[in-house]
Amino acid sequence: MLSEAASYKPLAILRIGVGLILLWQGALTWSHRELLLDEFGLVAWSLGEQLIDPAMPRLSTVAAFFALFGLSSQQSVTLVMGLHLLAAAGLLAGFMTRTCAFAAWITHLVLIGTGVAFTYGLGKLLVIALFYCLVMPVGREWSVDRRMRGPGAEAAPGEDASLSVLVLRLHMCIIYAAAGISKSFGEQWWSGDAIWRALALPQFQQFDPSPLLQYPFILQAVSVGAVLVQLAYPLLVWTRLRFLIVMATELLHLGIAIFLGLWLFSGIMMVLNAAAFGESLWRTVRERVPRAKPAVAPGAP
Amino acid sequence: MLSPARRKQVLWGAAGLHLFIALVYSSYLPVEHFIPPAIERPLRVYGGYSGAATHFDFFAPSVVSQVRVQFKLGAPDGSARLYEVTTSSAEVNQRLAAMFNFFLRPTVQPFLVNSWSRYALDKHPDAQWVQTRVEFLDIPTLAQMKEGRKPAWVEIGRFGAVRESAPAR
Repeated sequence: MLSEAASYKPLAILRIGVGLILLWQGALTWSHRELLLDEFGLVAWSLGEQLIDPAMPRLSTVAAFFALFGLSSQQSVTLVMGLHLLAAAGLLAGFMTRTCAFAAWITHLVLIGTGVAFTYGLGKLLVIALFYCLVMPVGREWSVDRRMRGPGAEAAPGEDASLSVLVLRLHMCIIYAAAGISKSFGEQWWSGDAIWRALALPQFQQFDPSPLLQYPFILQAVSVGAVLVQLAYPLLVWTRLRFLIVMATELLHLGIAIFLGLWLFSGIMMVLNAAAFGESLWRTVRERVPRAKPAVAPGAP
Repeated sequence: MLSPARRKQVLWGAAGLHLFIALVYSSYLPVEHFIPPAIERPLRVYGGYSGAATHFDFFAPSVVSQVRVQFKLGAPDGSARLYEVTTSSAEVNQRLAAMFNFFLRPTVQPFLVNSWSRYALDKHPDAQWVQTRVEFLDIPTLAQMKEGRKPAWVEIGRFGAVRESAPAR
């Protein structure tokens, strides 16, 4: 139950999922890079970079380097974002996986470092996911690298697969335990106000939530349910109820995406869950669903 | 060169330490204040690069409301117009909202307003001055909504700036 990784596929799910999220994020933000990351943008570099530790990478350092080759700060931002997306595509395909993971990780750190004021939970979760793509064997399955090694290079699951999946699982438990416990200290989550406030905030509003005021018990049930799912996750994923709790969690993230419009954030959480427990869930489904008997040709003995 | 057994020990040890750091920082409480600085800084830097130093405090312990910013730009001829920073992308607007909420941090406030004002003037080279109005959405509780209260934008700051130099770009 702790880590029964049967293959490198869970890690391939992580790699492909992260690659897709990065490309999706890039498509949504590319044309707004000046607004979000310009040296003299809404949050000037000189201000944004004061908010991060001096040891963290930043755009001003990169731009100073590129300035030696005559590039402006705007061109440096374009170059870093372009490199980031190229690396994301490489990660998705599993081509030069380790190099692409490194490039995607370091460029992501540069972009969210200087743009820290524009960063929400997604940016931090992507650091976690990209770091794991860098240190874990994520290119051993479903990748161009695997194909290039030839058919003889079978990816028999090793100790590194088991350890990697275990680390992913335990990290997911830490995330949900911390999120659940933090929420449980807030009165808003028990009264239903938290869900009401989230739905009422213009930044998340997908529809007019006022009709829901007629049914406060629904808001309260959803709110309490969200806390309970997160509190139960680290306990139940190690039991026979794993399938149930992981599906409930994925549904929670789908709900966050639909009702609060946080598609990228929900996407990365669903990817992390699928990587940590997807293979195990798939095996459960295959064991429980009876396989169709092979068709027998008429007249066969 | 490490023996396989030793390598396994090192890998498991590193994984355990990494997860321990993630556990320490995961709470919404600022645990870093309780760790000696000599240890905390390296942990924070490692956590910054690996994501291990992440507080999972999204929407916790409570859902904070939203800040919005409106600029009033004045031209030398005495005319004035309003300007709001928004885009056609919901994802980018989400990031803008996260950034505007930084205003709620008192230590950053004056620098942030200064940066916003300069940006607004840079974007509108014809403007001579800018007035930045910051509002906070007051959302009543479910019980208060039942009593008839409505969400309302409340002004929490108004700042003025005059153009002193040519646009940065």
